[in-house]
Amino acid sequence: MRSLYALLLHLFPKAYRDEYGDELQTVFELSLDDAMQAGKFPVVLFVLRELISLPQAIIYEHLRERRKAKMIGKFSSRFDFVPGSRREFLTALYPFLLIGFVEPLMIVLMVSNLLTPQSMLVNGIGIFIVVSLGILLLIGFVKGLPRWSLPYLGFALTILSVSGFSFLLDIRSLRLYDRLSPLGDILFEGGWWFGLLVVMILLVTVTRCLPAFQRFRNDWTLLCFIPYGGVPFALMITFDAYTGDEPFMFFSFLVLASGTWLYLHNQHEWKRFGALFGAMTLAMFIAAAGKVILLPAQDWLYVVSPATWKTEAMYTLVTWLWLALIMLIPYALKLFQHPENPVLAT
Amino acid sequence: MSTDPISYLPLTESTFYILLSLAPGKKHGYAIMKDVKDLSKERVNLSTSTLYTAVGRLLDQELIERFADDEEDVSPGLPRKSYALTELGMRVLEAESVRLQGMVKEARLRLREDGA
Repeated sequence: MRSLYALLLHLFPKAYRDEYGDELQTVFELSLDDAMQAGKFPVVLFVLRELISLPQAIIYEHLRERRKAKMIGKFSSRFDFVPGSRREFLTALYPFLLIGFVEPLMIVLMVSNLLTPQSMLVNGIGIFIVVSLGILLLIGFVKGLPRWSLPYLGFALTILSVSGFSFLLDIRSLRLYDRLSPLGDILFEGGWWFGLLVVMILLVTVTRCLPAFQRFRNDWTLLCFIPYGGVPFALMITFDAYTGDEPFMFFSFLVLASGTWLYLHNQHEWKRFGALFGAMTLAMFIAAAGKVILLPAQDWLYVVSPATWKTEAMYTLVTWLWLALIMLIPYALKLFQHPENPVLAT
Repeated sequence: MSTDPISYLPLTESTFYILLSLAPGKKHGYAIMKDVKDLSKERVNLSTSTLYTAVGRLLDQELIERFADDEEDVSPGLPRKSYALTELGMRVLEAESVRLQGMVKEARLRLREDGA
């Protein structure tokens, strides 16, 4: 009987079977066990009920599948990805691809004199990158921030956070190397990420309070995916003024891409968080190692900065610390869980 | 999808019981099926496919949502997905309860008048 039911499930549309097939089979088997404990007659009744209702359900699901297929023609529906699908992964990966692959590639082409920084092509690619990121972020907002769009939001927030601090440095005439103590250094470096930190705290607070954010309450790791989108930009800052950093940027990109893939394909929340946190940590470690290796070859060394390999590695570690702290903020949603749905008022 | 709970009314009996079953908290499909049977005093006995057709429709209407259970929380042989009411689902259920209460109240008044 179990095998027959499994066979009949193949009459459902494939997408439906992939989504609910296992559940249907499990629930059927549990119900069959119940009926068998009650006796032969309940088993017959159960089997008849299941077999009679099955054709109606199969027809209904095929019609529903057809209605959905018609909707896919609409533009915005092109961004309705099946969770864990290749298209969802590639769309989520786009900001990482730009920073980790396109940007280093352009620098390599410029260093090899195949492109000049002032060329139309370089400017065109730059404008295309900014505009395409903006459009995809906008589509993400329109679609209610599906998970592929969260790194775009993080990317934009990180740029705003860093620009804000940069602006403050300009108007207060603060100098980057005038810090007094190690703690002062850590706090100062945090200035770049302060805006992102504040936004993440606000997002967690809003998520706890507003019914519309229930999706984020149910899966706190979604909010961790936002600052993860800022990691490529953090890597760019980390390698600021360095030359020859392209291989390290590329390896960091591969790590971040792997983290994204693992995040989108894992069901367990701690594995999902681990994928993001682990990839961010490894990418920053690659950056730190890259800086240590590249530092002696930098032409600005001893001219504008008293940098040593220890200070460079330390600043990367401090950046990692701030990013780690920001990525851990959404865990507050798990720690202080929203009460279950209220009991129905009569 | 409409956010006005009234636009979803009246609910079918099985839909009402499925939503009611989820009112206290998350449940997986098998638990919903058993709960619906208990709540309806065995009048509504859903088949597996009927249950999941209803569940699919309620998910599309955003009255319920689906969760992947943590692996350590799942007993062997039980489904790994569970379902919960959304805020909209809860409001629809409350609106239907008020509607049904109103109907019962009217019926009782009329029957009392007829009996008097």
